[in-house]
Amino acid sequence: MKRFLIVGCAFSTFILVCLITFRIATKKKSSFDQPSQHQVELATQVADSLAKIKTAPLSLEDFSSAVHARAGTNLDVLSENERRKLFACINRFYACYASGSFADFKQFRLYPPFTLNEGLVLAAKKVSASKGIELKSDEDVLRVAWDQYNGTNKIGGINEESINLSAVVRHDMGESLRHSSFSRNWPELDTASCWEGAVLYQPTPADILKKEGALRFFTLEVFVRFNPQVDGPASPLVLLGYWDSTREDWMPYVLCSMLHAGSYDTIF
Amino acid sequence: MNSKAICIFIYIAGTMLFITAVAKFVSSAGSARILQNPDPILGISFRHVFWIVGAFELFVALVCFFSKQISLGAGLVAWLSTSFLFYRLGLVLIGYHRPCSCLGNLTDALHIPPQAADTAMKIILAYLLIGSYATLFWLWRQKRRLGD
Repeated sequence: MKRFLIVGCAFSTFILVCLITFRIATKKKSSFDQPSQHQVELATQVADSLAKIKTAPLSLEDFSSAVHARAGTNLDVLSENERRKLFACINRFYACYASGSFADFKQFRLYPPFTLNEGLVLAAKKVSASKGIELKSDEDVLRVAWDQYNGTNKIGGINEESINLSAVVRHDMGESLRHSSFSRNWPELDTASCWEGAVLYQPTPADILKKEGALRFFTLEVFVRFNPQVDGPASPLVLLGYWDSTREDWMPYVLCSMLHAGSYDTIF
Repeated sequence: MNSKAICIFIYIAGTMLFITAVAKFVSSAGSARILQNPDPILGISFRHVFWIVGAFELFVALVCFFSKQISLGAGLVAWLSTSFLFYRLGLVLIGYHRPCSCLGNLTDALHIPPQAADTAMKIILAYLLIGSYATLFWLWRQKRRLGD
């Protein structure tokens, strides 16, 4: 027994040393927390560009009209029913993140069957236990998580001209769609920062991709300012969703911003 | 150094490892986004690193508490602290200079600055390293004397 333990310990230390050696050998030129002068300059340029973008508060009706007007021919590949459902999904998204109301989050996200992120459930249980609240349902869990992470955060301003809604067919999970068109101008910066996975629908996008061989995605791109930082730089926001043929509807998938959006936080 | 001091060291080491293991398990249950980031050395997410390392720490802590063989407890503490030392040296060598998230994001919940937590963990590591190797050396000398 003792001999096995010694061998196990020696083996695990050997693996660790090998890994460290490998990491040192394949170390990237840029260090983890010391951005190069070039990267600092780029980040400053990005922040300056984003600071110049004008945003204004938009009502849900105005936002909806702007999305319709700016969608143009991007959605020609969709049927009338698919287009109508997509606009409805976009409206629910804006209603949710512009109001900060849990009722709107529920309207936007809670479409059974779904599961909740286990980490989020545990975090919500910890928070609720400290407040003496009993969580009886998934909705209770999400309400606590929403209050904890989103709090009173909401989209405070929209740059109407930046709204871009489009639909594409992909044979992968659409990783590259997470980056806004704006961030593609700055390939040197690793910029996508995404919220995802609080609610996991069944079937999952991976299941649909496996079954059908392709996934239809929509992307909504828009420059926004969040209410905690209305005077700071605007954030390019990307909402990504996919078509679920079993539900015959568009399902929200991931919400991304370029760089981390300051003190803004939420769940998705 | 006598056997009473060694016993005290083993119990203190076990307690420290138990506390850091619990901190890792509690932190890994959270939903902080950093938990999904990959560890710079191991390449797996911090959440999984916390589970694995927490399990090792818990195992060694239990051996320290319940094993009657002092050499086993001291040997495991020496092994674990040597691995931690290699890991920390690795972080330095690859240019990763952020504070070690050895206690997970529990330090945030307890409002402990990451730098202070990192310094505390370095002190604990030094204590475990020096104490365990000193214990093993003492046990080895005792064994030799008995052999003579």
